[in-house]
This record gives sequence, C-alpha cells and structure tokens, in this order.
Amino acid sequence: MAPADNSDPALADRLADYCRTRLAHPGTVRVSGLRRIFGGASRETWRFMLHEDHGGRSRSRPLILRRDPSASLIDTERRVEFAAFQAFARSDVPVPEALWLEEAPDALDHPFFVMQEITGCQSGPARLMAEPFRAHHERIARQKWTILGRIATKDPAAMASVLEPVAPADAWRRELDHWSGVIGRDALEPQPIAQAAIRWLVAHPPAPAQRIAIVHGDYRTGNFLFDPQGDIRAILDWEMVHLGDPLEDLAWGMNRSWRFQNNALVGGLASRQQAIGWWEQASGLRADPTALHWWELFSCIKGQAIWLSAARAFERGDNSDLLMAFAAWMLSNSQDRAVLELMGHLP
Amino acid sequence: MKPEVSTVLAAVSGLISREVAPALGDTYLSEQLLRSAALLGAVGEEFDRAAARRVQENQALRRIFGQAAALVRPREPDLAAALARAADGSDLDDLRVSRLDADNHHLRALLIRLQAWAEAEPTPAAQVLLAAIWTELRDSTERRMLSMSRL
Repeated sequence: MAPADNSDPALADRLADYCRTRLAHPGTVRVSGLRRIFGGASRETWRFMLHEDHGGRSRSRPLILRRDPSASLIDTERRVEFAAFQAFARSDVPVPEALWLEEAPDALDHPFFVMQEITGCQSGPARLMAEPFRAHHERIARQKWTILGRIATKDPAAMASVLEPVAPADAWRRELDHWSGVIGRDALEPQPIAQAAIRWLVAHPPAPAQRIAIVHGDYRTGNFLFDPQGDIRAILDWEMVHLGDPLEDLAWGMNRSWRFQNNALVGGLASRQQAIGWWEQASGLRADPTALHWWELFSCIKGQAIWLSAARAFERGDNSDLLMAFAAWMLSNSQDRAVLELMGHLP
Repeated sequence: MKPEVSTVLAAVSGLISREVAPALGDTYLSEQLLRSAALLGAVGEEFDRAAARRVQENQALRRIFGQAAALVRPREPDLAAALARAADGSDLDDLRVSRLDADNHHLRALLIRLQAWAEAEPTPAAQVLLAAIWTELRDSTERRMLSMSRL
C-alpha cells in the first residue's frame, strides 16, 4: 500500500539508480522528496530532488519526472514532447531544460523523461483566477499570446526529425481526420452534435495555412508556469505538438473549456480582440476571422475527442485515474454547448 | 423515510471538499479528494433526474422521427422504415437507466442519419425538420448540463 503522504520510496531508489547511469561523474547519487504532482492528463508527473556527491563536491537540484501511465487521456510519444523542450531551449519561448529521455520500460516500468523543475511557480487555473494573481492578468495574458505568436515563428525544421510534415492546404484535413476518427473509435454513445460539426467542417474547409508552424497542440491556461510577479516562466505539456496551421493553437486557447468561469474572457484572462492582437503582433500573421472560426469549431471536436477517449479508458478499466471520469462528466456537455454556440444554435 | 441519494451524496461531497481535503498535507492527495468530491456531487445531481431526462429525450426523438418518416419515405425508404419503427417505441415498460440509455443510443444514432439526410435536402420541409433537430439537440444539451459544467 502506498504511503499516505504520496511518497514512493521504491520508485525513488530506482530513479536514483537510473540517474546514476546518466551522470558523467556519478559518485554517490540520492533522490529525496519524490512526490507526485496533481494534474497531467497524459503523464504521471513527479517532483524530486537529485543529490550528487562526486570527488568531494556535491550539488542538489530539483527535477521533474514525467512517466507514461498505462493508459492516458492523450496517446502521445514522450519522445516528441522531449524534442519540443530541446527545440525551444534557450529561446524566447521559455521551457524547462530537458535532461534525459528513456523510452524502454526497464528502468521505471514505463517510458519517461526527466527535466528541470522551475521552482516558485504555479500552473493551476484556480490559483491564477484568484488573488494575488488576478491583479497580474493583463501582464500574464500579454505574455501568453505573445509567446504563442513566437512559437508560430519558430522554424519547423527544428522539430522536423520527430514530426510528420504537412502541406499548408492539408493541415486542416489531417487534424480533422485524426480527431473525428478518435470520436468514431472511442465514443461510448452516438454524438449527433459533434457529427454535425464534423460534417460542417468537411464542407467548409479553411483557407490553407499562411505558413506551416510548430503547433503546441494544448496551448491554454493551465499549461504554463507563472510566478508571483506575473511572469510566465515556462510553457509546459507539449505532448500534442505537431506541424500544422498556427491558427489551430490560437483557436484552441479560446475554447470555452479554458475560461474557468470567466466566460467573457478567452483563457479567463483577456478579451478576444486583445488576445488576437498580441498574437498577430508576435507572429506576423493575420488571424482571418473565417479561418479562425473554422479552427475554433475544430477545437471543440478535438476537445470532445479527448473527453470521450478519457471516458472510454475509465469505463473499460484501462485507467482508473479519476481525471478520466472527471473530464467526461465536467467537460463533454460544455463542449457540445460550445459547438451549438459556434454553429449559431444557441440563443 | 431515509435521506435521498442526492442529499447524501451532496453531504459527503461537501464534507470531503470542506473538511477532509484541506486537512491533508499532501497536495496531490487533497486535489484527488477534491476531484472525488466534485464527482460525487455531480453523480448526486444526476441521480434524481436520470430516468426523467432520458425518457424526455427519447420521447422528443421519437416525436421527430414520427413526423419525419413521411417526408423521408419517397427518397430513403429504408431510413423512413427505421424512423417509423423507432417512433413506435416506448420506454415506460422498463425505466432502468441502462435500458433507457440503450434506447437513447439507438435513437441518437438514427438521429445522426436523419440529420445528415436533411442537410442534403434543399426543400423547405427538410429545412423545417433540420431546425426541429437543432432545437432538440439544444434542449438535450440543456437537460444534460450539470451545475458544475455550466461553462
């Protein structure tokens, strides 16, 4: 039985053994304070302190372990997320330093990677929506959409070795085919609203992407670290990164699911016009309203696909994490409402 | 009389979220407990209305199908026959949620076929049908909404 404080001494020992194999001068290696962090839909996230003693010199550093669960909310390759952290290292898109990637299950039963922990920060939307962070909303929002614009300017070649290429005219079709396929495969009940939206999206394709960019894939409030001064210190959760139309990221962040009871503001932080303006300025791109509307409706399909997959994994016993049930119970209905709104069927 | 299921679950949910979770030192565990409490609250909210909203929705769909069958018959006789059969059904002999859900899934699958058909028909009658379908989809979304998912 796991200790009540959520520590895991056996895992800590195995993690220390693994870290020793990756250090140039291993000496004595010890792991302390290993604790699982709440959240993380597609990976278990653990915080720990790595202590190294070598030749009379010692150092301790806070690190993060991201380990695959048996079944997750999103099926992704940890190799791709790791590559994203490497691609944006030391750039004007803040990310944690990625240290070690382990795709074999031998060391810790499941694939995982280890990265730097950025301390003194928060990521939870509930904290962000409350004081003292509420006072920094405009500052955080400006950074949020500016950084997203910068991501859109990054040369996609930086991740070409791990991401599938796509032509500007095909980006919408590839994403829609993928996520509508997930709904077809995983839905536990028929989805007439989502299916109507999919038919509309197929019949009204957007203009080709202005450029093919690195698309974060889950760029939203809740997936970045912010500090008490109102600065964004790191963009996290790159597990759905891919090449595509940068409007996809802009639209995803505007989805109703990420407004956190602050419905008038996208991401719960800023007006739609402000957000688009910051993004356009940083990206050098234009958010064409017709194309953006298409991608916003698409974001509902993608969101619904994720909630339905979660529901299926929980129902089938593939993953008993309550997050899987919670997402379906709390977000599936609101995603349908968002479709109705975007298609003009809510008063 | 004993306290109703919804009342009990709301009380347990409240106890967990207000007293138990905050007393835990571990953030991960307390957040998991808060999530459990939220789910219990949602289940409690759903319990009282579970059969009623399913019966209401199934009846609404059968009403639409009954009206649509004649419209569809000249162009899609197979679909029309399926609509007519579904329109003749009833939920009242078995009100278990699992049974109502099975009927609901059959009806909603048929609704998807009917809606796709109506979208491709340019006639005014088909457009009226389409509007009725959207109205029901909006109503069903309202019926299914939980207070905690009111985004």
